[in-house]
Amino acid sequence: MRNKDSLTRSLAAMLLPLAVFVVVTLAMEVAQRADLMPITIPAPSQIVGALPRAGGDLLFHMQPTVIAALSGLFIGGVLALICGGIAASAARSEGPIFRVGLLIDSVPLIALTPILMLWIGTGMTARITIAAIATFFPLLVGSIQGMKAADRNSIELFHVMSASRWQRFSKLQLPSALPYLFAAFRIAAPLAVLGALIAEWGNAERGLGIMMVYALFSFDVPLVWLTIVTVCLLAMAGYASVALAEKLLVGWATQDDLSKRPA
Amino acid sequence: MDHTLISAAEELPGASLEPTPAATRGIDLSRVTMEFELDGEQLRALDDVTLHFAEGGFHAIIGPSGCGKSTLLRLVADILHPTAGTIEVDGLRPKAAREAHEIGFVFQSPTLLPWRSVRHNIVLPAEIAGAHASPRNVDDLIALVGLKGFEEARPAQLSGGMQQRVAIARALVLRPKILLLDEPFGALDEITRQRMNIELLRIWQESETTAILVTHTISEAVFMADQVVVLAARPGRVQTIIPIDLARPRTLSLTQTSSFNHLENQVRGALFGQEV
Repeated sequence: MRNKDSLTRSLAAMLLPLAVFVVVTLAMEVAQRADLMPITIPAPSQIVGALPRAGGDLLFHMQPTVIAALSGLFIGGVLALICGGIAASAARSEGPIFRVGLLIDSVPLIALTPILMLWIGTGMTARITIAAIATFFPLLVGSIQGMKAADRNSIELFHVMSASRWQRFSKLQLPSALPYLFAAFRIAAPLAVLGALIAEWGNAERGLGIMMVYALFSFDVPLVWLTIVTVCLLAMAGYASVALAEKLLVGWATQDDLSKRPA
Repeated sequence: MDHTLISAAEELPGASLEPTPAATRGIDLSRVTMEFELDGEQLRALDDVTLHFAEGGFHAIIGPSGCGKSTLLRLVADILHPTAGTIEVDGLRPKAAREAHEIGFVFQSPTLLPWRSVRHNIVLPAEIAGAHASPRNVDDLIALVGLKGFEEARPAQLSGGMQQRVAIARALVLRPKILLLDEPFGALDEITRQRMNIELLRIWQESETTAILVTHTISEAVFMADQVVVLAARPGRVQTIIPIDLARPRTLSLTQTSSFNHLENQVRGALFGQEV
């Protein structure tokens, strides 16, 4: 009974956004055909129509963007974990670390990109660096919050059990931090795609960003929109992958289990 | 210090206010003072406390909030360190006793790891201690605390009382010599608490530990303990020690007897002084 209920509920949860999507798409189609929209916004059918001629290009340009975004997310994550670990173990360092993270986050990436490219070149390294910078701050916040998530009693318990520092970290602090880290990674995954894209606008031979720029310069409106839609889908796929991993790894953090509680 | 209420307490062995230098078994606190710094101000949580907890006994500590009863428990468990005075657990310093896994601690909140099953929460101390520990048989322990059939359940699936049973089992898994209980059933309803108290007495007798229970319920202190240590607040100090000479095993019907009520009134008198 409950299974059926939850199935119906999750179907309903998916149906509503889908219905909204269909309605908006149809409305755009109709509006464009009735000449109600500016020519810079193509009909959805025109965007899809660009797929056969540009599909190969799209895949070709998608690969380096995905690599830059994933590597940037990974490096940003590792750095944020290290900084979070330092902030957690030396309370006095938390303020400075947080402020530096905030400072980096407040610098507009679009302005930072050309400067960084002067320093470290225009290659893949620069694009990964920019993607990493784009993800760093939310990951840092999640990591600092997460490392502080273990409550006082749990820490006292590990002390009474004479746990080593490593045991306390691996058996208490890291698992306690996971829900916060996953929340941060869900935010950071789309940002990594955006960071990679901005870097490619600056300079790249291959990438969705440069493909978008080329399409703009040749005034190929449907192709511009096709790259935009692709970037959106990539960002959403990043978010969804993290959400899926979260569900598999930290299912205990959700309160679903309460319904199974014995009276 | 107000000593007017100390009557029979001082004549009883194992319930002495005086230091007992010969005693190496059980838990000894000798002239223990504990000060905290709070907002730049020195706060005296415990003032010159000398106590002896006899080995194998069940001891209750009761007192108003701010009397330092939780602090006292944390000093014995080596979570906190006294400003002055010494503490010995079977002749060992608290740090040595803790590192020898002689201390089991139960907090007011169950403090279970939500990502671990009941079984894996219970074996956690054995996992931490590693090779140099000889843990109890986990299945026996699960049966002892009445959790048979819930071995693979997650804490979130259990009621508050059942979660606290897991915490008690976890505290006992390495056969500690002493069991420290910091208001373990304080968050439970009256009915569940009564049941859990009877269960706890049975578990304590089976496990042969020295138990110290911090509580703020008079009837609970009298029902459970061999001696009730009454603390006074600000600064925390020993007001009196009341021996409880009621036979074991103790049952609920005991709470209806006049001797039980008399002891309750004695504790109440010590707590409220002139007010009653």
